[in-house]
Amino acid sequence: MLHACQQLEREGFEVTYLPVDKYGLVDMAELLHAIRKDTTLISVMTVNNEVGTIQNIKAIAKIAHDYNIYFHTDAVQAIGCLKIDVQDMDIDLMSMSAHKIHGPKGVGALYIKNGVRIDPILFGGDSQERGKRAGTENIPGIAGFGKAIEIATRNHIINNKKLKNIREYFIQKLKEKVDYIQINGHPHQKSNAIVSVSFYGIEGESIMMLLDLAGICTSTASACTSKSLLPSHVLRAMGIPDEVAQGTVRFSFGTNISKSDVDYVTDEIQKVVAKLRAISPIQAGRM
Amino acid sequence: MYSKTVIDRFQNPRNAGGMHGANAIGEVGNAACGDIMKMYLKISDDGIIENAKFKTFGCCAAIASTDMACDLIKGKTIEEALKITNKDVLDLLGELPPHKIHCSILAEESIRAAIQDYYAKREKEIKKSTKKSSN
Repeated sequence: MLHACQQLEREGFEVTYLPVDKYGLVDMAELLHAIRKDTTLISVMTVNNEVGTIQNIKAIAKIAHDYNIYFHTDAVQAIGCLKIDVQDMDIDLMSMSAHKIHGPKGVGALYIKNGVRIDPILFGGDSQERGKRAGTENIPGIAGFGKAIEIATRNHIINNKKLKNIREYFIQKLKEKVDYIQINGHPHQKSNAIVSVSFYGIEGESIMMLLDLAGICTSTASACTSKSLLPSHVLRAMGIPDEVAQGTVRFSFGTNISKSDVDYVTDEIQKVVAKLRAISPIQAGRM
Repeated sequence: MYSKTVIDRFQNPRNAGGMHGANAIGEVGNAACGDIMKMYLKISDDGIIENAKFKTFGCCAAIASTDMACDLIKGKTIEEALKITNKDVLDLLGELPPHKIHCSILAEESIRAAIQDYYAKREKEIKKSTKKSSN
């Protein structure tokens, strides 16, 4: 979303970037304050992909429409873990991706409400996808995405319950085994599919690498995975200090993860954290 | 992404940890950029680096670079150690991705910072002893 906005700026649009609170929630007062007479679009991520905080989408859509502004939401992280009713929430445009719900990689979708008109970003192939996107349709991808959505929504309630249990068990075990950590994001208004954890005194990429060598896949948004040396802009916007942000790892859960998997993972985390803290010049207890 | 040597040095660093009786300690980097390296040296009276240890807050490449830097300077004279550059660290590590080259530069800087600390301490000692003798 950030990069799409930056492209719009290069094309001559003006973009206001809204601040978030310490949980990563968009402040409604700030939003109202930022709306101008010529505002054409408000875009907010449904669920933040790094910390899992769920935005107040329905309320934001209402504000947008009160001012005759289009509302777009990036729901990539949200579909499958959140029930989304585009009519009830009054969403004009919604982006989705298949890979987040066990669908094929390289396939996404944009929901466009009837009556909302968009310009294509790829040109040519006038008749393809009603002139909105050039290129031959990726049929296997589309079919796979359709099936993935069908499965994800069919088992939505059970899956969410499973994920919630496993996430809570993970956090409980982690807190038992590792001290000086913090869980980022909103305590209640959050996705059950991910958890963002900051480990004091050590750096995220090295945690991720050691876990990877133990067969555990995680991700980090910290300096070292990207080419930029700055920590994640999301954590920065939430007011998390750089040295804490640098030690942040994101764990994602699937419904196939068992409690014994969590036991193994948290055991490994305990070892990895102890190993890295032993050679760190920063004392976790003094941060 | 990383060479086998880098992974090995990261997983099993040979020189990790602090040092009792270190007479030169250098620290470079900052947490905002994601790397802090602390180098501990034991330098003999005749200027030989007898032992080198490190503590690093940072990524895989940062840990591997400082570990290798310690190996490079052990047994060397201060003059020899000052000639070591990030290129030497890189040569021994095999290769680092382009955006990780700064880790090897920080390793080089941590050697220099430790030696600078050694000189600063020596200068203090000399000043002290000349004061005593003039009294």
